[in-house]
Amino acid sequence: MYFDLIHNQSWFKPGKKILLIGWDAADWEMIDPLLQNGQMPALAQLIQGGLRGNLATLQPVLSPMLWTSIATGKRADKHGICGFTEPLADASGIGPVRSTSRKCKAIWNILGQSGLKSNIVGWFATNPAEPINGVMITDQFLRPPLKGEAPGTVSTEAVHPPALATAAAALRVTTESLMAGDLLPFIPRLAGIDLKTDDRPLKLARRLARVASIQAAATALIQSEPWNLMGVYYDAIDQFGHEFMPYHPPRMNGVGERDFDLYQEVMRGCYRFHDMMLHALLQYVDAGTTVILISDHGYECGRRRPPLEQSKQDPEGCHRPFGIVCLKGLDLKKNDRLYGASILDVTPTILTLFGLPIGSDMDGRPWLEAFKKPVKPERIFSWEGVGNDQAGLHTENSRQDPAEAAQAVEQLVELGYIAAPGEDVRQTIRNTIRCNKTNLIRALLGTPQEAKAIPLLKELTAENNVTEWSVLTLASCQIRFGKLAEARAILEASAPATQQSSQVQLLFADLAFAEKNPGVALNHLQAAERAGAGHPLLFNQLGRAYLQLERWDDARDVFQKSLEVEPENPAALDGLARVHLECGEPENAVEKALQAVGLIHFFPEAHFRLGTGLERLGKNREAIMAYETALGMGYQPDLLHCRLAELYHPINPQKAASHEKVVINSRKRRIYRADIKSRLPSSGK
Amino acid sequence: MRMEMKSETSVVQMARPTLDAQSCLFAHTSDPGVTIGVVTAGEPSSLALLAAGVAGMAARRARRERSK
Repeated sequence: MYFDLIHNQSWFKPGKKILLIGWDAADWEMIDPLLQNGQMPALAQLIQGGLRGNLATLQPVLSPMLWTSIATGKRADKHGICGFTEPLADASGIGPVRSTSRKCKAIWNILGQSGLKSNIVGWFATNPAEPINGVMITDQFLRPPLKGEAPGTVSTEAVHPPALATAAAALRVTTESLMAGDLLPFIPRLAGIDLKTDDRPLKLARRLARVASIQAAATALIQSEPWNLMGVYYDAIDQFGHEFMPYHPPRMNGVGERDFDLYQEVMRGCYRFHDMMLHALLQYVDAGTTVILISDHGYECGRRRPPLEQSKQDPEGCHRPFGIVCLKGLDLKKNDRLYGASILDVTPTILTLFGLPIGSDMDGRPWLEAFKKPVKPERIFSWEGVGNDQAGLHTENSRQDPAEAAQAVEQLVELGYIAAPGEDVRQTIRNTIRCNKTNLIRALLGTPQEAKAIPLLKELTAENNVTEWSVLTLASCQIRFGKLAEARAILEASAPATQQSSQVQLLFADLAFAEKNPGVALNHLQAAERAGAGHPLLFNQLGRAYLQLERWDDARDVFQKSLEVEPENPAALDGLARVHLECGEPENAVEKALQAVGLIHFFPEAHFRLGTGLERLGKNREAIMAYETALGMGYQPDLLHCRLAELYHPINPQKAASHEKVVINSRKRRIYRADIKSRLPSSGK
Repeated sequence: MRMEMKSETSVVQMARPTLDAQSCLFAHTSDPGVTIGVVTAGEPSSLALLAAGVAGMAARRARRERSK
């Protein structure tokens, strides 16, 4: 019945085909020089025929969470994938995160229940394969055989339909099958390497074999199995990066001259190899197919790369907050730019391309500005709970929360039903649950759902090994939710040495901002600067203090300093826009505000700044658009309705009246509330 | 030279006697007009075959057979 409902809609496009390619960690900073030198011709063609842009990532920058957000259009609190690993269902240890832990539908489920076929290859957190309408070869397809397993076999769990497992196994490229010539483009001076003491060429060969296996599976499926959505995920750029980016030019401190000479071509080679794979994949699609190429985040490749040792200890620190997006199709603009895109937007955009409605519970937006003709996507409340029998989901029994499963097993141990696993196994499980809870908290911070982080943080801080991070993050959340006394108590209870750290000084500054005391905030920020923090965040907060103190020149200086450290820095750009407005430079304000919203679309303050600048330039129609965008994001409704009423007055009195009405009603509500409050007995009486 | 190795480490070990940076595929692809990947006019390099996916696998296997 649901299927019929969808198929009877005029906007549904059952003949549409979309090729979605994921390059983990691909970054324009690496790609652009290669494009300029003609070394990525396939990507150059794609860009020329379509649109390119930055793709904002989410926190934490961890691939299983991000690729699941891409496939669902939702943040981790809704999709439930919170890390690389999770406890095994029988609590005997931990394993790679499983698709059964996902709490909502992915794009392939939604398409499946709409009668469309998907072929999905290598996508993170898809094992065990779901029984989708189409073919799924999961990320575990690449897992080397375990002891006792015959070489050349693939677990039937990794492939749907299971009958294709044998054929899929034949597509795996083993490291042993690689030839010397395969490695030379990456390491031209391979001969000079003593392989007994240097295993990096072998590591490269293993990574190359993995990505070649994905390419083999993708090129096989794209020809042999019918599809509407073909999704292929390549993890190699990220994996090569974690091993070989330190050797990429310019030579970093701590990298020896010889190592630099030997391995400096690896990353360029890796990107060029991806271009070759892209070229090959594009041979199998026609001009009517929409192609979308994305990465989940970027990767530091220049002078901002963390030092060698630090990058090994904190791999996430190598990731940049902007990945890439590139899309081309008959419905889409050509040779254009896409601004303000986020990884959350991929699924809503794909649904719009298919003419399917977007779930209102999705956190992203479709890229309507990328379409040649205006498109008005349909919306439904949610895709959850409708048409489930045709969505190719795991059965309810097999879907579970891994932390809950581990807890249930622990209870059985306590009741004496089963033997207890070793203490180190239990500790590993506890650590994994804590790590995933921390990731979930990080995913919630700064989102509209941030309040959900507070109870989780309280749980973490109540546990035996309280970390400084959880305590300080709790304080930070409490500041944002106005619980200032509680936040102050936490900060003042920390050790004196901790209190002097730049991190805590930044929090004291936040507290002072919340108490509307920018002078005190400035003192704390200057203390943080003395403690050694040279981070863009610090500069942006200093700028915020100077703005509130109306020290425009000082604000301008620190925002510029912030941009020198991180050029793709929406907060600093917005700060400069405000400075320009205050200094009577609306043209510059518009330029900076445009750059800010070009990096992050959901940035209501910057849209407001943009509107103000445009209004001062007399560009009232454009100002209306910017104000309406800010209003749609919930920014200062009273002020914006007022401004919109004024701007609409000469061109559309009816609209002006509707905005005025909202303002009047809002005032009436405020007066009514104040009146009621004044009649209530005070609590002290 | 054997084209397929018995173990992972032998892949890189066997590279030694054959080294010639000039033979690198990438050395010939700086011209944006040159198509790389599956459809080069001459015999494609082994890496190009790898990038070609399933079609390349068959060609690599055939090449290995020829070299036996």
